[in-house]
Amino acid sequence: MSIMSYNGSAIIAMVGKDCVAICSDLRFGVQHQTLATDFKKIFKINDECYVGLSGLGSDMQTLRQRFVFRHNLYKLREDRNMKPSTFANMVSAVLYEKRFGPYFCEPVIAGLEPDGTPYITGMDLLGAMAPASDFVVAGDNTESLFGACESFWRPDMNPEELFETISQCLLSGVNRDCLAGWGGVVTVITKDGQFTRSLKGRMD
Amino acid sequence: MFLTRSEYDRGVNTFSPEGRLFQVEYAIEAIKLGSTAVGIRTSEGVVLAVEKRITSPLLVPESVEKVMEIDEHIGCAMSGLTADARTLINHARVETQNHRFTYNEPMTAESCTQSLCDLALRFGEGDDDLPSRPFGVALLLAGYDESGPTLYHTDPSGTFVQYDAKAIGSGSEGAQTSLQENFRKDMTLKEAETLALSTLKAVMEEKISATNVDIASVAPTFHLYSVGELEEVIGRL
Amino acid sequence: MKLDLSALLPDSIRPKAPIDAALDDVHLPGPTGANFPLPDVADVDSFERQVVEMVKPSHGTTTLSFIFQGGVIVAVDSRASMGPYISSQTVKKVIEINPYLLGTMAGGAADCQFWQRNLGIQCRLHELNNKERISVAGASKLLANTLFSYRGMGLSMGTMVAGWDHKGPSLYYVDSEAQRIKGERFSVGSGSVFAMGILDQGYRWDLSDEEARELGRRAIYHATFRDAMSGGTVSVYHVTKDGWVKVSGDDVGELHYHYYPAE
Repeated sequence: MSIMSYNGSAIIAMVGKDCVAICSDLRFGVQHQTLATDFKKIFKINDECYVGLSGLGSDMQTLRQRFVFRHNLYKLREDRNMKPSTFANMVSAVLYEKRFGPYFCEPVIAGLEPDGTPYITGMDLLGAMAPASDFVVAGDNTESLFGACESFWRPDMNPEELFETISQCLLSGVNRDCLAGWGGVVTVITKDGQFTRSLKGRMD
Repeated sequence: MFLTRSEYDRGVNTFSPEGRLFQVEYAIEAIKLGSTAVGIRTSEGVVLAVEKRITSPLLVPESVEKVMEIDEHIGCAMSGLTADARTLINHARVETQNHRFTYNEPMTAESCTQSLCDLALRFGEGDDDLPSRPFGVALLLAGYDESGPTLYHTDPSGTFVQYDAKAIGSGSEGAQTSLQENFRKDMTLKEAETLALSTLKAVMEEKISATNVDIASVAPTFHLYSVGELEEVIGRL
Repeated sequence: MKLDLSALLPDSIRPKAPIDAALDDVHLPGPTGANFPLPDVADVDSFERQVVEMVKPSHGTTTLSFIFQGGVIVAVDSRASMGPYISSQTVKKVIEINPYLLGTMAGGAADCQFWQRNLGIQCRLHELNNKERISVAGASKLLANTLFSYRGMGLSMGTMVAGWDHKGPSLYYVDSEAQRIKGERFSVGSGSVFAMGILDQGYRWDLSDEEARELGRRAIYHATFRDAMSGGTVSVYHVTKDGWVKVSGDDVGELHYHYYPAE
């Protein structure tokens, strides 16, 4: 069994019109055994930038701490927040530092650039960036998530439409995955602020 | 005697110059020694009635079984060497169950009859699992399937034919004539019970009673009549 | 021209003459088990081991069964998985052998379905030949005997044979190692530890019918919650002296919020 699916995870980020959304499932398990159903995998970096981490649970926590640490140092030196594209480059660099003993996490970054354009990118566990203009997915069952996103995504959704679409994609995606699900959480980022909502899902 | 049949009646696989298989013909003769059995088909279902020869007052009548269930929807009456029939019936039971296993549907009566006749002709092949001689038994197969009620007759030559009404066994000649005179296409199952039993009664040597006949119907599932039900039918004669 | 050296090979792996091979194709499984052709390889044993590794059957399942005063309860989930992928949420894991006998499915789905339908044949022929229904002990022994003859050949089954016979409710566990155990409660599959926890805690012989059905349902529900490989719907069957009835089939998506309503 792959270490990337030891704990189970599912993450999606999606682009709308002047807004982006990012979501994750809530399961934390050890292989087949479900231990917790309130394990959020998306983290706020600043108002305009969120990161989702899929893969090994312990590395998620370590990485989150390192990203927040690096972001704090940046703020002290530069007196401003990192924009999502800058943050993504930093993440890539942090991951590649461990080229020969990597963190077992694939990050997804979503945010709005200072000019208001949406920015999302996915990455592999060594830091290879794969930016996208529509959606990115990560987790132990990306085929299902991709399938749902390919079917439901369309351009220029408003924040409410984007919320509905990403939610349905997550729920139908994890309904084909043994190791992820048990509810979800969604954050939508707009230039006027963000909102986060919990999703009720199948509990099996 | 040696000359009349020549030597062509020895081997089961050898035709005589006139084109006959004597052993098969002799097997058909064996049936004419058997007890009489009658089958009648109506639109409601099929009735099978058999005579049981109670040769001794000490014999337990229930132990004589001449009508048997093959599957829920197929019944069988026999005449001739009933021991041979057991082999055939066991074969039919396995075939009908295997059909259900493979196709998840009941086997048709025709297909079941066909498979019995395939076996009937596989004698004398030298295979340890197959008989060395023809089966000395004729069967009446009553079925109820997608084509409705059906009645088939098989004999040791592996031939099978469909009938509206058929009698086999020692009394078959008289019984068949009586069936021909009295059978109607629009008979009810109840009328068929009566006709089957009155036909048997006419050709039986003993006085008919609930112990020396058996009736079964397939309408649409196999049912062997109890003593009470038999007495009710006998009362109608 | 290729020389035909097949006569030198041992009987078990010798290629069949064309006519026999053609007959083999139409040969159907007999009442005591089928004759499956063996692969034409030098070392059947190690080849079989490789095949088993390659088509390793999914073990993600929760099934349970117990006997009590009012009969037998059989409860199962309905998920089938290929690795972490959910290939179906609507699998029938209770096999209705006949109106008085149920079998459950854990391990290889095809193995369970095939051999339990084969058991159905054997039970029906027993009924025709002996004019009475087979006992649960007898039926489970037939299955165990069949599985014994295939021991070590890679079958994967963990099954419970449950039913009501002349002695009352009865329950056996039979697996592909040909182990056969009589018992009053069993649970099989990856979620069985969770189901057993609920079952042991709530079980009494004198449970009422409704209590027993709910116990079975709740035990499977908890297993679907904790075990990632189990889920879908919870099906509950009850075998009484009049045969089995399917009591319920609840989608776990709704059942969870029935047990634990969302705030």
